[in-house]
Formats: sequence, C-alpha cells, structure tokens
Amino acid sequence: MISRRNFFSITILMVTMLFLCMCLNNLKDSWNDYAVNRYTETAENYPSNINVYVPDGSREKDPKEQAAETDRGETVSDRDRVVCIGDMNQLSMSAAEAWVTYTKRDIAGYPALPAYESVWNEEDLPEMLVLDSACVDWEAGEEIDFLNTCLEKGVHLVFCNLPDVSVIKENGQARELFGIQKVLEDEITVTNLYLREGFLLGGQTFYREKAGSDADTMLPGSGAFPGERTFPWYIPASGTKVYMKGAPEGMDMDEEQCPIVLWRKSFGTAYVFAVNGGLMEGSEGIGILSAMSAEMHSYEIYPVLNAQNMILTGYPSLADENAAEMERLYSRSVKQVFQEILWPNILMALQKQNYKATCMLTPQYDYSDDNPPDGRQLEYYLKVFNERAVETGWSARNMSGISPTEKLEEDYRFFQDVLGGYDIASFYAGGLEDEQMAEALEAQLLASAKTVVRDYDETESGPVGFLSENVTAQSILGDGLEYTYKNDFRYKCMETALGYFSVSFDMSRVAYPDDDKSAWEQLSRSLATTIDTYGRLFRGFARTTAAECDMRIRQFLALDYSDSRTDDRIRLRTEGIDGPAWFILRTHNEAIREMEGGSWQELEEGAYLIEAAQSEVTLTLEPADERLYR
Amino acid sequence: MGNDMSMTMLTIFQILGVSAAYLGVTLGLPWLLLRRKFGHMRTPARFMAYSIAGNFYCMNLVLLLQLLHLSNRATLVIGTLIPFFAAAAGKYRNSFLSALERRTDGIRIVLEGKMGAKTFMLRLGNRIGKLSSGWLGKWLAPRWMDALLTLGVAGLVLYMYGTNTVSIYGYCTSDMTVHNYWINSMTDNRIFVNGVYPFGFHCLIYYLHEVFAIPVYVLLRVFALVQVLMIHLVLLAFLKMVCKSKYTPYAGVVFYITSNIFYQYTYLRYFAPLPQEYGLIFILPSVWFAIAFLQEKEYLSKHSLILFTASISLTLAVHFYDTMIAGLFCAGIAVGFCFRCLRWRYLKWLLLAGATGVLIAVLPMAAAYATGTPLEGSLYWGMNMASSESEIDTEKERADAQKGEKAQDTEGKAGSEGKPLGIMDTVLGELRYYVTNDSITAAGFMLGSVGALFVLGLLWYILRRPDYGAVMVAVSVPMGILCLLQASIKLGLPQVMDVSRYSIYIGYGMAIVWSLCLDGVVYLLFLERRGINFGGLAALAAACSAVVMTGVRTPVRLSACETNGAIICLTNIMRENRDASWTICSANDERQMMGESGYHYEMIEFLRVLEEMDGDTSLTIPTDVVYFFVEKKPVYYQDIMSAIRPGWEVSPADARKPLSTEGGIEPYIKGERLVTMSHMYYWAQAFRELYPNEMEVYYESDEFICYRIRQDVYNLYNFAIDYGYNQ
Repeated sequence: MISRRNFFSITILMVTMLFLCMCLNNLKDSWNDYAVNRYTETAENYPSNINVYVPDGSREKDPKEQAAETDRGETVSDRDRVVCIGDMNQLSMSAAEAWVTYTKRDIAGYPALPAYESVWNEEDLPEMLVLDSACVDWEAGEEIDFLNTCLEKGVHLVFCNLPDVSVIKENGQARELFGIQKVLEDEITVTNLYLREGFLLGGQTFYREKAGSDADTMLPGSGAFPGERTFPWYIPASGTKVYMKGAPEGMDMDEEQCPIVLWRKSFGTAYVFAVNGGLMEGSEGIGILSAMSAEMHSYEIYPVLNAQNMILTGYPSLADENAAEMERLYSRSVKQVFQEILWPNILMALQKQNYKATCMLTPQYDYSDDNPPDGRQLEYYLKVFNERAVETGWSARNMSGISPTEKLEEDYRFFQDVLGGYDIASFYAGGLEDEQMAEALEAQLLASAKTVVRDYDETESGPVGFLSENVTAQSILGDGLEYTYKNDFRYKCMETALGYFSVSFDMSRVAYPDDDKSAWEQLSRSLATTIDTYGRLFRGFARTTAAECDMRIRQFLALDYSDSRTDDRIRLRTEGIDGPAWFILRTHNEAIREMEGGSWQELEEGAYLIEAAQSEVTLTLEPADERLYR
Repeated sequence: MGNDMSMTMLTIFQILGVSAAYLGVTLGLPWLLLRRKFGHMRTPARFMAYSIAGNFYCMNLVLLLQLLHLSNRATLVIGTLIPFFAAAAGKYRNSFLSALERRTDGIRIVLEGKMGAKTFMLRLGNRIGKLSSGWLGKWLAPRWMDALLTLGVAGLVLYMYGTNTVSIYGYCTSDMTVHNYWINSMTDNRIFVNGVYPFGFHCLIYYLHEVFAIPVYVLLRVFALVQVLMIHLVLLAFLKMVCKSKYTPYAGVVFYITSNIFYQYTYLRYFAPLPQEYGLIFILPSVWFAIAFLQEKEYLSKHSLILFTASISLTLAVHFYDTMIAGLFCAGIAVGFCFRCLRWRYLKWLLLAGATGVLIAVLPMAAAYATGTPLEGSLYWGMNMASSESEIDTEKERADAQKGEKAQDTEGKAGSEGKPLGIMDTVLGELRYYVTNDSITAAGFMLGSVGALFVLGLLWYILRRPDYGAVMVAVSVPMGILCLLQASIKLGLPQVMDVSRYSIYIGYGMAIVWSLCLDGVVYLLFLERRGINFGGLAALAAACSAVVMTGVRTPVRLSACETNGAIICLTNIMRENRDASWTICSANDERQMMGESGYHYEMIEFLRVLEEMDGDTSLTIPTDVVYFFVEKKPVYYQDIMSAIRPGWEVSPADARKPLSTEGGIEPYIKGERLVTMSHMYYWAQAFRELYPNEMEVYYESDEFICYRIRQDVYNLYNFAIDYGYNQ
C-alpha cells in the first residue's frame, strides 16, 4: 500500500517533470519572436554616406589651443598628411588612399617627385611620402638628394616597390637610401617566407612551400603565397630592421644572407621603408602601412572596426535537392544533412571561439526542379537562429542560372507565404556586378537590407565602405574552407589595419559536391581549423554578424579623432559619432596601466584594443615590464 | 608597481638563506650526528668541534666526488646522508627495520589516512615546541648573559661588515671573478681547471651552490658576511675556552671589532669571501684542540687529537698561509707546554696528528700534480713571496697607494734620520705602518700587550697554574714572532708569506692577546672566587671605554669591481629570462657571475670589431635578448681592495682616445676602463638613435645604464654601425 503522503509526493514530481519536458519548450517557442529580424530594428537611425568623415586639409590648429597644449606639456600626435607620389590608380596607391581615409589622415597626390618638390614647403612637412619608385628618376642625383632632405627633416619614406635591380646595383646612393648592402643575385625564387612578430597582428609567421606527397592534404592550397616569389636578392646594410624575408630552396630561414622582402632603414631622423616583391599591390597594403606607421612612432593609436564575421553562404537551403547524391553520401536528404549533421558541427565550432554566424539563406539552390522549399524548415531555422543570435541574411546565388531578380521574386513569395514577410538586413551578393547589386537592393525582399556582403575583389582598395547612400559594403576576405598563405597574410593585414575579419563558408558545396574533397567530413575539418586558428589568434576582437558589422562600418567611417600625450598619459578625443568607437593602440615597450572613459584589452605584446565609450578617454601607460629588484 | 623589491631587501634574504644553508651544513648536521660524542665538551668547544667536523666532511666529500667526476646534487646529498645511514646502521644493527618502522610510525598513520596531515603537523609542532622550550630554557638559564653578549658581538659584526654587504652589491675584490670561474668549473667536475690550488673554500661554496641551488655569484657576494661572523664567533669560542673569566673574552673581541686603532688593511679583506680569511675559522680550533690534548684531560684526548688533525688539514685545504700561522701557534704551544710537549708520549701524537692533517690536505693536490695538472699561478706567487723581495715591494707599493701620504711620511722619516734603527724601533715602525692607524702609541701598546702576556704567562707558571700560564706563553710567543715577521724586510729575516698579510693575523691575534692579558689580571685579582666574573665584566666595560676614547670605527663602504646597477640588472636578467636565451655585452666580470645561464660578449671584442669595420662588417649576437652594460661613471677597477671612487665620467674626449690593445683585463682597469666605457656609451647612443623603439633602457642610475634589445633570432640586428668614434 502506498501512503497518501507518498502518493501526493509522486504526483507532484510527475507534474513537475511533465512541465519541464513539455511546457518549457512550448513556452520557449511561443516567446520566440523569430519572424522579426532583430538586426533590422534601428536601421533608419544609422549614419549614412553623408556622415563619412573626410579630411579637408584644414587640420591647422588654433594657435591659442596649440599654445595651451604646449603649456600643458602635451605632445600632440603628428598624424597629419600623407603625400603619395605616383599614379593614384595603381593598386598600391589606391591602398594608400584607402588607408589614409581609414586613419583619418589628409592626403595629397603627385604624379612624380619633381612635381612635389616644386611645392615642397619646410613649414608644412607631411608625415610621410608614399612613393612608387618608378616615379623617381634614379639617374638624377637631385631627386635622391631631395629624398635625403626629406629624411633629414623627419619625413618618412615608404616605397611601395623598388626600382629595377640594375638601378640598385649601379647606384650607390640608392643602395644607401634603401639600406641595401649589396645585391647578391638579380633574381631569386623563394620557397619560404618569414614574417617577423610585432609587425602585423597575428605574430611570427612562416609560409613554407609544401613538400611531400601528403602536403596537399595537410595544407591545402598552401601554394598561394602572398606577393611575388621571385625578386632580386638584396642583403641589408647596418641600420636596417627586416620585417619579412624569404629563403630559397635549401636555405634555412635563420641564415643571415636570406633575401629580404620588407624592411626599413633608419637614418636617425626618419625611416625609409622598402617593399620587395609586390606585397603592397592590393588591399594588403593598408595593413602594411598601418604596421609601418606603428614602427615610425613611439606609439600609434588608430580607429578600427573591431568586427569578426563568419558568413555561411547558401545555408540553410530548405528544399530536398540532389537527393540521389545525398543518399549515396550521407543516407539522408539534404534537409536532414543540413539540420542533423552540419548545424551541430557548425554550432560547436563557432561556440568554441564565441563566434556569431551570419547565415545567408537560400530557400533552394535549384529553381528548375520540382522540389519546393519547405516552409516548416524555414520556421525551424529562424527559431533556432533567433535563439543563438545568428543573423539570417539572403544569398543571391543559385544553381539553376536564374537571374537574381527572378530569384528575389520567387523567394519573396516564399517568405510571404510562410511568414507573411521578413526583414532582411544583409545579403550576400557573391560575385554580382555593382549594377546587379543595385537592382537587387530595389527588390521588395531586400527593402530593409542595409549591408551587402560580397566576395573579395583584389582590385578593390578597401574592404569596407558605402555602396550607396544608405547601404554599406563589406568584403569577405577569404574562403574559410580553403587555407592559403595569401589569405592568411591578407587576414593579418586587415586585422592590423581595421580589426576586421570576414570569411565565408560556401555550404552549397555540401549539397552539390564537386569531388570527394567536398564531403562534409573534409569540409568540416577545414571549417573547424579556420574558426579555431583565427579565433585563437584574434581572440581580443569582437565577434559580430554582418548587420552588426554594418553598424560598426558606419560608425568607423563617420568618426574623427585626435590624440595627444603628456608624459605617460594619452588623451584620445573622438568626434562625429554617438556610440562607442574602437581603436588599436600600438606601443613599444609600454603597456596600459589604466584607462578612463572606456575599456581595453591586450591583443598581443605591444598591441591593445581600446573601446572608447566616451568622447574623451585617457590612457595611462607604464613600462611593459618592470624590474622586480631595484 | 607594488610588487618590486629593493636589492637591499633581497640581499638580506640572500644572507639569511646562505647563513641558514651554511650553518645547517657545518653546524646543524654535525650536531645531529655527533651531539652525543661531543656531549662532554663545553659549549664553545663543541661549537668549534661541529664547525670543524662539518667543514671537514663537506670539503672532502666534494673533493672526492670531484676527483671521481661524480659530483652533482644527487651524489652530494647522498654523500651528506651517508654518515647518518652509517650511524643508524651501527645503532640499530639488529633492529634496523623495526626501528625504522617505529620512527616512521607517524608518517604511516598519515599515509593510511588514520590521521590528517594537519593534525600530524600540529602534534609534531607541539612536541618540538615542548622539547625545545624545555631544553632551551634549561640550557639558557645559566648562560643568558653569555647568550646576550654573544648576540651583541654578532650584532656588532653584522653592523660593521654587513652595512657594506647590503649596500655594495658587487665583488669587493678583483680576485672574486677568478674564484667564481674556478667554482663554476666545478659544476663540470673540473676542480683544478687552472691548476692545483687549495680548494677547500671552493669546495664549500660549490657545495652550497649545488645542493641549495644558490647561484655562485650570490654566494660570493654575501658569503663574506657569514664567513666574518664565523671568524669572530670562533675567536670568541676560543677565548671562552682559554680564559678564566666568563666575560673577558668579549673585551678583546669587542675591541677588535669596533676600535679604530687598526689600519684598514687588517680587516678590509673580511669584506670579500677570500680563502685566506675563511681559513682563519680553523686556526684557533687547531690551537685549542692541541692545547686541550696537552692539558692532560684524558676524556678529551682522543677527540682533541682527531679534531686537531682535521683543523690542520682544513687550514691547508683552504689556504696555506693559514697553515703557516697554525704552525706558528703550534710552535708557541710547544714553547708554552714545553714541560709536556717534550715528553715523547705527547710529542709523538702531536707530530703524527699534524703530519696526518697536512697529508690529508696535500694528498689530493699532490695526486693531481703528479698526474700532470700544474700548480695554479697564485701558488707560484705565494711561494715567490718567500724567496723574492721584488714581489714584496710590489705588494708594499700597493699598500702605500692605499695609505697615501702616510706611507711617504713614514718612509721619509726613517730615511731622513740616516742611521739604522734598533730592532724594537723597526718592529714598532712596521707595526705602526701595517697594523695601526699610523699611531706609534697603538703600535707600542700592541707590542707591549704581547710582552705583558708573556710576563703574565711566566707569572702563572710561578703561581703554579702551569696550564694557564702555558696558554699565555703559547699565544704570546707566536704573536711576538708575527710582530718580528711583520718587520722581516727591514730586519733582513727570511720571508714566509706576503708581508702585508701578517697585519691581518696580528690584528686577529691582538684580540686574543688583550683578552688573555685582561683575564690574567682579573684572575690574579680574584683567583677562583666568584668575583672573577664581575672582574671580567669590569674588563669588558674598560675595553668599551677604551674603544670610545680611542675612537669607534665607522663601517667601511668599499669600492666594488661592479656597479650596484650591474648586479641589480644581472639578478633581474637571470630571473626574467630562460637559460641561454640572452647575452650580456659588458666588461669581463659578468661572464663568470652568470655561470651557464646566458652568454657573454666581451665589450672590448665588440668595440674592436667596430674599430675595424667596413661596409661588409656584420656584428650580430644570436640570442633573443641582448643587454649592454655601460658604466657612465666607470668603476676604479684595481687588484687591491679600496674605497676609492674616482669622480670620472664617460666623455667624448675619452671616446676619441684609442682603445687599449692589451689583452686580458687591461682594457678594463684604471684609466683604460674610462676609455672603453666611453666608446661603449657613445656607440649605445648612436645605436639608440637608429633604433629608438627597439633599444630600450632596461635600467639606469647615476653611474650605470643597461640597454636591452630584444631580437628576432631570424633577423638579427647588425650592431656594427658608425658611431663617430670608430677610428
């Protein structure tokens, strides 16, 4: 016999279990406002193109203010004007222009050195000259003399490329200027590259040519090196500091005579930076310029986006497609593969590094078959994404070759049918032309879209900017499923310059595999490796979705700032924005002791991420390491 | 930064650590093992006995293991424990296991979980507390005055000599670097790396370094204080054994420590842990145990003879000058105790013990010499002292340099009179010159004290206290001979050692002479009556008054061979970096101080590369971090101890002078050091102009600056630059 008391207890227990098992899930479902995109709510309040800060060349201070700063013992940062000498349409010069824009500097451009020499004014010296060496007449000693004069006056020189090796060989003045002791060979092909720690963010890096039969499996795509692999073999002179060098086959990287790629020569008053091997020919140049600028000064503070995006393109797809292949590979339909295999894997990898995902959904890949997208699947994913703060965007790609406009119409109808409409904040344009993107943005489905995520274009100078009055563009920096040295270098450059990282994972490769490498067990390993590697390397930066990144892009572009230093205190003032702004502070042998008006965290030795919560913040520095015994 | 620590505080901790290690090994462990065997001795004798036993075992253990090339921490620890195992095996021959079980019962209970570790520790603590408080209280009750006075003496020693140790961090003598090198080599079991040398002192320092992981340079910085404390405690212990009054021993010791009548060379070498001074610890025990043997106390005889043997052996193992002095005292004992010593039953044992002691110390050195290891250079120097006058003159010139005008005055007076002085005047003159602070009265007082002690000794023979009188004669005779030897050059006597070193022994011996004189008088007044101790206290008070009247010595602050900044940097560098990842470019001394922790680049080699550089010259140092030690106010590096601090500074004018082309330490001594440092300073300035963010100031003081450059080992900096003074 069971007693009444026990009976009562058991009943209470069972009711509790029933509530926990059934009702909680139902309550969670009913409170899940999945049909509303949480990332579109304040779109109309965002700064637009008209808010972008454009230096007007009138940085001259009020003499009274300047005198007051001097009285206070402040050393105001000489972040002012950059003079570019060369064709501004060149990739390296475009990168310099983008960097100047991002760092809020003034810029002046001249086609050749004599043109600038004619307007040279010792009272108004620029911070640096960024030069295309082809625009300098190396035969004319006067031009080298003028460059030496610039150095004497404290103007740094950045050569985006070097003159022909014959010029270097024959011209002692040029060798002296570049800090080249001798030319060992006119041309050498390197198999390894080495990047010094402390230049770009991301630490010391080796790019070694793959070797062995299993290299392709171990390191797919490693053949894609940054820059050129064949260049003249220069030996550095004394007074130089080498940031990047290569090693030909059979040579160890620690040998002193390795060919140099990126270095500086010190003249006491200023530096000459030289790049050998085309590294500046692309948007990577903005990262290199940021790193060079940090080397030029005792400290450097500059604004960044602080955004790390993981873009899953073509995920999820909601229709049963390519059924036979899916059945053969996974014994499941594509819907089941996406829901039961991919999503747990992806979620686990992302959560491990606290990444947020942006899923660029496509209702179906193939619009020509008879498999319509499943509305319940859409609801399911939107619920799950909403719970996990995953952003749902829209992907313009399809497998059946229909135009983006047609796809937009089809998908709009589908969203209307299932949800009665859905506000999409970001859309993945893939490789669409500008006109196609503009046309797509006119569609009803993308009426609320405020940012376009597009594939990386090597001819683009900067990865972020305004596409139109109210829509921003953000470039994906690389394919997260394919590791290449070139991409790795680019990521490090972008993190250094902008604190920006964005990689895509093309999930349509799972539904429509090209070969065995597209099987999920292969791709999942690449995905996890990418997420884990860069998650660890850049753990200090904020994890964002495309829409959150859009917000930061607008703030970043609208921002103006100034900084000054008094003893160990750096005062940073921001203008033009309301919300927080992020900066990278790079120091030499100094660390932040405390901060007022915001927060900070160490990214790596000598590099700090600053969040300026107020319009004026103060940083107090201290020596990076103190002696224990004094 | 709230977590930094002053170097002074660190030095104090280091002194405490080194003291604990040394006293633990040389007093604590012998006490544990031999407390029953030496239980019948008086406390001061036991103190000397433990010290002799500990040092003897420790030194010979290291020597044996070194010669077998087996020396390392494990073998040293095992070797240290062997006597304990042997003693345990002997004691518990048939019940070793059950005894072991009984002794480890507490640990077993804890391991089995029947008792918590905290409870066990608490019980153990209570037990030790009860035991120690009971035993200590019982032991201290009749000795509290002695304990207080001994602490006072220790305090005076620490104040007089410790002030320098905690404020001057560098080596106070240039010899230290060589000793450091020899001790470092012992890590590789290369004991006679530079030739055969009495290695007792080095064995002990090496033992402390290897077993307790104390860096050699730390030991050589602070051990002088531990050593000087032991020297004075042994002196006190000896006096406690030979004096009749309890307190007259303190009078001589206090006077010796605090009086300003001594010329500084008599105590200056105490500021460095030098073997000769370390050997002082063993001279008086050898004297006492010989006396104890001759005093016909049967129960003492066997142990006294063994300890006499060990003491003689230790003096020779540490420094043969100490053996000479011990030998001199033995001669004094032979005179003082002639009534017994001339009897064969005593003489044969004393000769046998002395010969055995010498043999024990000499055998390892002789074996090494016989197998082809040459004698170390300083041994030749030591032997030349006995045969060559030129070396003595050199040493005297050095002493003259320290004494400055005083020396010239003395020489001048002697020369101007033009007529030969009598023996007494010569001895007094030399005592005045070498031992006193230029005071003929003090010299006369010293010589008079020796004479008075001899007379008192004779008086006590007459008063039928032959043992007591013999001690006085046994001390006064060698002291008289030492006074004569001090004047040996002038008197044309044969030399047995470097003339300037006599003054150290004379100063040390004077404490014994004065204490015994006072004791002799007090004993004469009171005999065995109770008032003798009050008489002793009165003598102590009189000694203190005399010190005040003649002037109290102020603690000396020596000029070290390295700046404080250099030692602070070295300590930090060794703490901050992993081994072999750093290089120091400096003058020579840090090379030995750092041992095997890092690399060293000789400053003069560095500058010579720059001197001869052309466009292709590459000067790289392949470690992660490179430190440059530059003296803005270069130290006055010389081979004698002094407090000279020249006011010079690096300057462009000195940087324009050519670098020394000499080898060895010539570029770093005296004026050459200023030139070398000036070059280095202006190179550092020029390099910092080129690399303002990379070449950082690691540490800076008024006299010293250390630069640090952190390198990427794949892209080393080329330090070869034109700094304007390359020549």
